[in-house]
Amino acid sequence: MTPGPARSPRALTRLRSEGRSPEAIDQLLREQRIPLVEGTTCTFLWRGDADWVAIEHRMLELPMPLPLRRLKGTDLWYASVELPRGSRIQYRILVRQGDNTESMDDPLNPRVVGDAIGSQSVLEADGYVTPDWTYPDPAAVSGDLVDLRIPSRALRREAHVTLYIPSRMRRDRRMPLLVVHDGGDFLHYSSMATVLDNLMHRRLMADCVVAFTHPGDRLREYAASAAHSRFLTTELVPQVEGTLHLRGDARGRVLMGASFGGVAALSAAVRAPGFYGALLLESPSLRFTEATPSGTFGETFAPVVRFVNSVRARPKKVTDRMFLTYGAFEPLAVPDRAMVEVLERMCDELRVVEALDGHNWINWRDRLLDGLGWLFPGEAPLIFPA
Amino acid sequence: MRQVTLLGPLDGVDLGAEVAAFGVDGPVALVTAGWEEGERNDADVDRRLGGGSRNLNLYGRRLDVLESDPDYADAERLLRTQLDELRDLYLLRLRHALAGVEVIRRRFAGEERRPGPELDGAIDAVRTLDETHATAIASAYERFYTQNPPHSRPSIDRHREEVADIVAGCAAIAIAGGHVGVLNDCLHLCNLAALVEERPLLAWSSGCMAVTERIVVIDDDDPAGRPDEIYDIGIGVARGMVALPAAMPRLHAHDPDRLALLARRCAPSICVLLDAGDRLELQSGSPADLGMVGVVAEDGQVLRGAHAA
Repeated sequence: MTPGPARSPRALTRLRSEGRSPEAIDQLLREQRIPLVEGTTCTFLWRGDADWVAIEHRMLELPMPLPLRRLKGTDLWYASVELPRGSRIQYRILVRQGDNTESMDDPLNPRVVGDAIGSQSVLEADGYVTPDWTYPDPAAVSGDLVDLRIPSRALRREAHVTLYIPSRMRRDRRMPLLVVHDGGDFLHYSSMATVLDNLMHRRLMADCVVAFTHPGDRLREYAASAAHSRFLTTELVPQVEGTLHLRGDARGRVLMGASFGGVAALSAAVRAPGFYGALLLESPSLRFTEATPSGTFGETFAPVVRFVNSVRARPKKVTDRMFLTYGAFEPLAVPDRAMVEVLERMCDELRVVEALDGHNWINWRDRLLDGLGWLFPGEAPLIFPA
Repeated sequence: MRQVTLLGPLDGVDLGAEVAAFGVDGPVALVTAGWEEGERNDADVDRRLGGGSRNLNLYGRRLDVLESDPDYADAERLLRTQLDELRDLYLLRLRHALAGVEVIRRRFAGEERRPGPELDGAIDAVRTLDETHATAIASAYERFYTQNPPHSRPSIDRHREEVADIVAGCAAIAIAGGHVGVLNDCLHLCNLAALVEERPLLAWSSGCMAVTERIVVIDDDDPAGRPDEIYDIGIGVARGMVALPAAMPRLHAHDPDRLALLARRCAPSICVLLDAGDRLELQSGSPADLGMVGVVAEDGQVLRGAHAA
């Protein structure tokens, strides 16, 4: 991802050549999808009076924030970037007037997503397609979502877990268990129940029970906490496996997490080698230090850095398979890429998918087929025309 | 001599004409177990067969066995776990063995000398793996049936007798497609292989796979990226061939090198592509005229018509 070429993109070129009247700008904004997507060139636009306008983002290789330039003689501001085909990024607009700087969704772009932190506008580059298995399918029977409260000695609190029970229960198989960190966010922001319904209905993944966990003090519990690992391995997993008569062996247990949740998944596997058969890590916050001081990433990350440093010093096999994905544009791409070699030594098989996206719930949703389809291979190849 | 006709997916095929071609009179015993829960939704295929077919209800019978005989269900679950583990390890090793073939091919790409013995050695490693896996599957079944003899399980015995009675009153057997694993399990449980003897058999789609000796599964769109694999042991009515129904959409990413490898892995059996409209008759259980199917040659070319024959 790079700042755009010096030449103006086509729509703005036309605007320049055909006159920069307010009416011409109105027409451009009315007729075009904003941001403009012209081949690999994507152009952010903002219109209005301001002292300074910029794009707020978390994308590598671009100035942060990315300033917009004013089109001479108009109130239209623009900045172009080059994005590979199929890319998708999230951003907000920063507008400064006098001493006041405001962060806002792009008023010219109706595509907005939200998460626990707030809303963001979405730029879908040429070639990006929302996977069809992320939309509700009337033909797919929904699994049941059941809330559980588990008194946890390890966490010293009552743990809230939402169980997903698939609609199809086969009598000749015991199902595996997938534990998902940040369960509420995955259900809410990544439509994960819909995704599971669809992938299982289409046999693109095997039927499995999913335990969506809801963190308490997330930044503490997920930061490679021994107590949280103990909760997963000695309380949650045995209870769910026993109650629902699941497989109950390593090959039938997978831990999944994104960002800090990825750290929690990896640390639980490291603390119980051989107990989990696979890990699904999405943009895990695997921060580590080499030459830099250990406090580089702040107090929150200190236990994570200690954990990752120790894993890097002595990587040993803890599970059979790992699926790692991260966004090519997110800052964590750098440490996550550097961890590939280490993770390879911690499992028999590692699959890595670098997505043209960032650190967000939609990216993690879009990678679910790659990850779940590999870790829970479905029976689609066995299904032939009737 | 038993008549066997294998067809690709049923796109516009006149099933009534196929049954008439057998020259027999009487109802058709129908197997739609591969449709799983939709097994009894067979009105359309019954009509196409000329009406009056008798659905053997093999899927429902299997569910009933698992429900009514918990010990057998537990034993079968254990068998499935063993087979799943065998398959996982086979696929793990297979990926590496196939990578070995690819490495040799790349190593000699653009060179004057072709990778004769080196490539043969790499392919032999894959073939050995395939053979070992097929043997391991067969051994797992053998152990299972020795420990759980079906004739000593009343519910299985009862269903087998009922199926045999129905088939005895039928002039031919038809096996539809669907889920090849489920279909194959049901055929084995009800011992259909023993009942097919001397009766004309019509199979289509994955029904063709289940009646062969080895079930080979290929799917270039598999999100898990599984390679072409020996999946299971069929009932062995059709010999000397590997049936690949709905082949062209499943093989779309196969280049001639991959097809050649597939052909050599399956040899001496012939890789028969059964797409919509394709048709193959067997004589003494082996492919007769290959003129109406596709065949994967050892050089990776797909031959059709006179070339295939």
